[in-house]
Amino acid sequence: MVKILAIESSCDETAAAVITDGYRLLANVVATQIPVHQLYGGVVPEIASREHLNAVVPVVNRALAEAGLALSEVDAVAVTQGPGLIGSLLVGVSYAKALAFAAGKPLLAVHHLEGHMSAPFLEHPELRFPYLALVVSGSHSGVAVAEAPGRYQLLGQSRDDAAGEAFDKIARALGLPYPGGPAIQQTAGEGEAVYDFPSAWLEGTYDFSFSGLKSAVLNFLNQKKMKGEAFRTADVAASAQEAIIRVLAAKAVRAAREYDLDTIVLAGGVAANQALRERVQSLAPERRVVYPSPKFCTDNAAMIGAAALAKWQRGEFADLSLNAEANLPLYFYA
Amino acid sequence: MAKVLGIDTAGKGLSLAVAEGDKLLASACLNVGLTHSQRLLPLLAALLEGAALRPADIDLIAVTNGPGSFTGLRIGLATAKGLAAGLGCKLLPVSTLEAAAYAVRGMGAYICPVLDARRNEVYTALYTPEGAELWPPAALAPEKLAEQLREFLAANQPRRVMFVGDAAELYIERLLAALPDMALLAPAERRLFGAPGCALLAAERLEQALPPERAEAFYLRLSEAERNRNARLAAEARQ
Repeated sequence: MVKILAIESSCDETAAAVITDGYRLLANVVATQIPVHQLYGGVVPEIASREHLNAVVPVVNRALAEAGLALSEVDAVAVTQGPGLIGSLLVGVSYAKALAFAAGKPLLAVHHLEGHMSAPFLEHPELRFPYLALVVSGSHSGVAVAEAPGRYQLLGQSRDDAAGEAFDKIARALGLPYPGGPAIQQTAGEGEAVYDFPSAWLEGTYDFSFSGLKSAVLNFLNQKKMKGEAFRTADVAASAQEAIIRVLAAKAVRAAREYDLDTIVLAGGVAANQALRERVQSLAPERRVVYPSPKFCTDNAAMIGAAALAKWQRGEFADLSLNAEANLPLYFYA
Repeated sequence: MAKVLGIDTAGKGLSLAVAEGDKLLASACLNVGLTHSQRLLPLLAALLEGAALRPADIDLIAVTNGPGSFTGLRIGLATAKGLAAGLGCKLLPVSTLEAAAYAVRGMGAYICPVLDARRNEVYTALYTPEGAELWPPAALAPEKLAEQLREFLAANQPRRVMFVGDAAELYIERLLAALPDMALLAPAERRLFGAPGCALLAAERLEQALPPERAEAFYLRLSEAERNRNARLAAEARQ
């Protein structure tokens, strides 16, 4: 039975988990910095890095304690190499490398998005490759074919704002708190999508663009203000949410059909959005739509451990010169 | 006697050292522009191998904890914390400025470390010729520092100050001009590498060692977002 300690620090959650064969979690600890960043309306990279440095030891120790394991009983240390905020990534990578070196354990480097795409295995260990993955978070929006563990074909991605970023910016304009995704989903539940905000379809590609939508919502709010016209925040939230999810859902389903994939996996923080889940399933009733529980959608180390299990099996270890990479591409393995 | 590993990644240079009591057992320095994150552990592995030491032979990790480059400090501290946690030993933070000053103590001049703080400032402090702190760490414009030193040296002997640290070369012309016949530049090989001082200073104060989770960076400056927010709150409070 392999036991892997996984560490994730790519954005504003310091997380550690211990995972074993069969995607069985022995511990899963997440220390979120959301309350700190709420003061600034979004993640402040320098503050995030400082928080990670203070949190990393207690978070990892708590994960080991929850698993009832000493560090010496762990077989490998896995860490998110990128992509993400470089200062944040460096804390996790530096800590994980030093821990592995000092304890004499092998090191596994994990791509953050491979982590997100592996998250469904935590609750659906019977899931099989290949599948279509829609990865949508605060910093990434992409459609990928997951061909095999460690082998992903990125079909398209956002050309500007990520979907979660669009939620954050629109939430801020509406006076809703950070993070914007949950706030907009909640507010949208009390409104109707009565406004037709534009979706960028970028026909013939699997790319996304959300900056136009953000501008359209800002213009709408400015005009209402100038004319002194009333509007319901809940309706604006519902309309903006609709403009985001209809394009995400349509492209995911189109890709699944084009590549003849029976399963669609929704991953990343935005995959916690209920309307997105329902829309994908209703557009593709013939396909299996799999998504993790909300706690495995937002950043966590359990998903990094899930991806690391396959790397362990392949014997794909990183060496001590491993560096954090803010823009690490989604790679292929032959 | 305890073996102490010293780590300094706070500035341009990357250095590692192993000390035992007042003896320096091993040291390694890099000034090749590669990122500290990539080079630190491979260099440590090579240093330990060269010294015929295993990681488990290290009894205490010492690390320069600031002031310095924010990212550099975190690479050093996160690595030091990981090593301490992995070895089950304690960790001792040492002032980056004090470790830099240690390299030129006992040379008959006051010691003024200057580390690049960007924004046309240096992180600095003043030490006696023997290395005891006189001025607490501060971020200052080089001109302001020169002015304060001129005033200090007018009233104190010896009337000499030696500059050390990764900003010394950058600002030495200006400092020499502002402090004629009083300013000295530390030799190049003593300017950039704080790890020997860090390890030797830590070996003198073993009782100050901390559990790894309690070691913190000493940034000296708030993040820009915090500064802006504080300025906004202060402005609002005045209205």
